[in-house]
Amino acid sequence: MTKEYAAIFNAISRSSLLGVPTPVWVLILCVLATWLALHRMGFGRQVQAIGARPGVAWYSGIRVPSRLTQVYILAAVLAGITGILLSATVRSYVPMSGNAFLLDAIGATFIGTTISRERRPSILGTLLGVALLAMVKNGLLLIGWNFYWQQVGIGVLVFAVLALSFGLQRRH
Amino acid sequence: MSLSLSRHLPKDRESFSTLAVLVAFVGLFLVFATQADAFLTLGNLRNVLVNNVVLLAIVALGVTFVVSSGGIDLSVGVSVDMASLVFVSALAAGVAAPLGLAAGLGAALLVGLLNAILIARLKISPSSPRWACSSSASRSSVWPPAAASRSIS
Repeated sequence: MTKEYAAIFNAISRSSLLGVPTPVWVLILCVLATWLALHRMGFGRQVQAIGARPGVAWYSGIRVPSRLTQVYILAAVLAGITGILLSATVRSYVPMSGNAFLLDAIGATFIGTTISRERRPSILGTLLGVALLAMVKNGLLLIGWNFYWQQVGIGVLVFAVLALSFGLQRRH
Repeated sequence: MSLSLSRHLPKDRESFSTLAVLVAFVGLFLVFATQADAFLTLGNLRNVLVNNVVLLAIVALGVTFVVSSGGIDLSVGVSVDMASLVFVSALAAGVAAPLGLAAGLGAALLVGLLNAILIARLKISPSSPRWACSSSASRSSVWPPAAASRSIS
């Protein structure tokens, strides 16, 4: 019976298509979909308008509560995709493992905003932030820092990037 | 050199901070590549991509939308857990894989919907840390005891 789950988990996390692992394909699809939605569609422009000036967005006729509802559902479903990939990778449910993603994801998003010209979150910026955090985590691990010092290292990194970015911004 | 730099900076601070992030990225990459022998191996880079980047990136894409809308979503961790829990429980109960996938995503969607009702309809501040912490803590602490018995390892 356990073998049956193992087959399903393997089909998700250890298979590949055209030499590219399935989870990477899932990421590629998610990136394309979210990039189109945020940067090439009215939906993304309305979301950004709500973020920049909620009042103006409301007076412009944007249905703010309905757009926000869609945003939070989208975020939750994307997190759900990660949850499924995670359980297929570790082959079980690990309670409270999701919270580890929360601060890293927010950190990556804010690193991403610092590289965009308009200081707005962007899909490509977020991906760069994720790559930076993942690289630092892996690098510190290989250098021999333990889990807690890795967290400290990442905290210092995010702080440095944000301090630099906002320090430069304030002198405008 | 410093004169030309200071003349250049005020006009283009944004691209300077972009440059700083990119320099930090390349610099750290070089540090790790030289300090850790295993870092620059194909196996390690593949491992980082599949196990670290993919999982975090998909969550972060969703968070990007939330931050774009001026909010902050402290419930994505719960969504990750819920989807994982429901997916694994469904498989354990003998549900077919596609249905289990749908159930897992549906569970995450419900978390998002609840969150959206609280934030968008009831106008609870999404950045109110006390609310977010207590609610996410209570929601996730209700489930794990029931879940721990169901996890397959």
